Amino acid sequence: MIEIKNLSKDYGKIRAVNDLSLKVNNGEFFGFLGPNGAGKTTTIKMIAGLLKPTTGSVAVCGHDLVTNPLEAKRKIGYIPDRPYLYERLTGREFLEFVGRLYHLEPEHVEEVSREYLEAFKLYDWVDELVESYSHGMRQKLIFTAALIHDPEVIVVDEPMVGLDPMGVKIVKELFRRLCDRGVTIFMSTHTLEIAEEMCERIGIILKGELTAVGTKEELREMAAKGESESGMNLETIFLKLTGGEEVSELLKALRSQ
Amino acid sequence: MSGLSPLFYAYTRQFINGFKWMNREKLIKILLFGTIGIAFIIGDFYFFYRIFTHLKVLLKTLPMKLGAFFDIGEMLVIQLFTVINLTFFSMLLFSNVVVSLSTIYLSRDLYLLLSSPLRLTTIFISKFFHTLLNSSYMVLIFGLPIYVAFGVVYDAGLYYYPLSFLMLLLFLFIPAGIGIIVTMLLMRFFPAKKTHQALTFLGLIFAAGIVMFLRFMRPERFFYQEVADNVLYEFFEKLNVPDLPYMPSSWLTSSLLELKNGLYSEFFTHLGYMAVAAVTVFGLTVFIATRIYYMGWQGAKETNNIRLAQKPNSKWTKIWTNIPFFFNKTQKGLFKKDVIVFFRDSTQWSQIFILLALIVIYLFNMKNIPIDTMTLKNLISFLNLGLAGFIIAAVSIRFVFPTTSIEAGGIWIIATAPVDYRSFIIEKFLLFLFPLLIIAETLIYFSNVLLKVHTFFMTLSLVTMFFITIAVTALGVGMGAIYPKFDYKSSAEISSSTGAILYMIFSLVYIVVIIILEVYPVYSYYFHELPYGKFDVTGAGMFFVVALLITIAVTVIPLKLGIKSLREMEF
Repeated sequence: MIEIKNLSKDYGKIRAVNDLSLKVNNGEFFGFLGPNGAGKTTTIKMIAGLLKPTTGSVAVCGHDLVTNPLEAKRKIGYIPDRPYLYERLTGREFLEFVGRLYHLEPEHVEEVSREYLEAFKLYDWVDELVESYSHGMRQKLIFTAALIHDPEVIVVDEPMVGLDPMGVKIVKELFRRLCDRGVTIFMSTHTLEIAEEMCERIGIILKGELTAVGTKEELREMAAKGESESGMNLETIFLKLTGGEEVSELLKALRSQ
Repeated sequence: MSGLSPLFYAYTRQFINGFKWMNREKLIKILLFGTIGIAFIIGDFYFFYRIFTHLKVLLKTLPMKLGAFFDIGEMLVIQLFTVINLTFFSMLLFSNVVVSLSTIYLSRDLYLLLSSPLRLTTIFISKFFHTLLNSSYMVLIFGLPIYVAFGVVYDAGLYYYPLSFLMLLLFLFIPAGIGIIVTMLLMRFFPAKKTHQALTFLGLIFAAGIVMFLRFMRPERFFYQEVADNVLYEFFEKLNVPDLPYMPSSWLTSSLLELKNGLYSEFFTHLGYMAVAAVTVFGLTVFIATRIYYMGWQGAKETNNIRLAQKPNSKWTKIWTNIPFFFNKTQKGLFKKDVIVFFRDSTQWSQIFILLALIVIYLFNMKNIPIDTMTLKNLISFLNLGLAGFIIAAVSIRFVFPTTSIEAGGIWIIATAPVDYRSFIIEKFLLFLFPLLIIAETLIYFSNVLLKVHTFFMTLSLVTMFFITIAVTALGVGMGAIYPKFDYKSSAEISSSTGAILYMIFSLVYIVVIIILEVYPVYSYYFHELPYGKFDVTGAGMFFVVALLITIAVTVIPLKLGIKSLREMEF
């Protein structure tokens, strides 16, 4: 479970995340939407313990990320959007290394990683150097690495980038099964279709502020009422997220010519 | 060729913007390296000025000695320039192969350029000049002071300077063209990254060889006021190379002599040769590029079947990973990863050869110190502690200080895992401590054996060096974590960062302080060897205790600060 209270993050004079409060329950699949530069990755990085909040707090399974980071990190599996890995380790060596960081038994690492890598059709590559992996293959390796310690919470930033259609299908299926097992998933994306298809609740972040939170139905209701939590029409919010407003303006301009 | 102007615009704008948006760190670095560079140019000029002055005097005195006029001075000048220019040619050839791999095949802007409507020839020519500039500027910096020194000593006249410069510029085109052709041919058969690694490794061996060769010639003899003729002969004997009249380096040598002697018609003949050769090589390079460059670039991407599958955990791997039995699970994981990554990165492990060259040169210096009294030898042995300490600090700045930074983009894996940074820092510290102790104690032991010092000095040096190595390693690991540089392009950038320079300064100050603190015990030891002399155990002991306390502080404080810094760091 993730509990975010009054979370803010400043980069110098710029406030990237502003007074964000949110609770994601056990076994819930939460989607975090927003356009580029809205503060999604900053929030995700604070949940993963890579960034420290300027004010406010993040707790994972009851452990505060600032005061009790090691316990919190033990519960999290983090999947970043840019999969940098140790280029000169093989896939197997990388997973073994990650296993040791989590104090796992080698047999457990071997067993779990084999299971995931076979599902991802990556097992044949396990003894090749990571430097020879494609972007999608690296992404699959990171998925495996994030799951080998059986995390209670998965924090994932733009998971489908670089994955082939088969990979996307496998990840969707995997996430569903994990949720069924009670694993909490916090997923950031700006792909509305994926969020709509998979998430139980969705939060929308714009310019660092959480502007709307709810189930798809609740969000639709908000839109029907013509106002969201911040008084903004939800349709407008979605259009802003997808660049729709600019597209509408552009189409108008083209038609008038 | 009109497409060249936007490309040159982009390169020059980037260069100018680098200065325009310069931060304080970059300014300090430029000032520091600029000062070192200027000092190097002056030293280079002075060294060759001395050599040419000796050769000129030799020319005047030899006829009297031999009874007949024999222009041995000029012969030796030709020999010297033949060696210098041939060395430049080989170095340029090699550096052009290595640099062109990066600029012509691995550069990321190629995706943009090759998908633009620019002609391939235009893109290639811009990259040719990029390569030429990147690989040749060091030769200009090192070579020009030599040519200027020659002109000054022999009063070569005003025309000498622009004409010799023009000749040198044309000369640079030839190894650049040949080097790029070699690269293009290599790229038809091998993947770019592997070739780059292999050539970088060979380059380091080459550099280590040149450094050792130069050192073994003992060039310091030419800085003395008087240089004996036999010293000069011996020096030139070692430089003996065959005469190669069709080599551009030989044309360059001849042209310098011709300019000096006012033989302009011969000079212009050689200038003509050089110009024709430069244009021909350039044309040929562009022609070959139109045939094979694009195919090579496409094929240069790492192919999947290039590296054979690595053997899963072998018996041998299991043995060495368990050597540090005292490590916890996390530390064992980090240790295995660090060692594997180090030995799979040829740009890292190949530096061991430079290190070996450094050790050999160091011991060679010890052997050649012209001192024969026991007292002085013991004193040198004591001061040697400082020198060996500096060597360890220099090695540490290259290997130990970057140890946190080289985690680079992968640091998120450690930062998001339940890893206590204390384990992380201690693993890094112990990983480097043992190899550095071996190097340091080997240096001290063998240099003291070569100096044949007293047991007291041998013991003092070995014990002191033991503690200095511990402190310098801890300082390197700690400061490397306080001032990491994760966004580097080559690992050399980490060793020249502001944090690294600060580390070097702190290490040197620490070593000097330890040496000063041990002066009194050494003095007391000398005193006790005199009649009625007595070793002041209490006084000496107090200095040793202070030195030990400082060493403990320099070991513990940076490690603690490094851990604290990592805990507070954001990634």
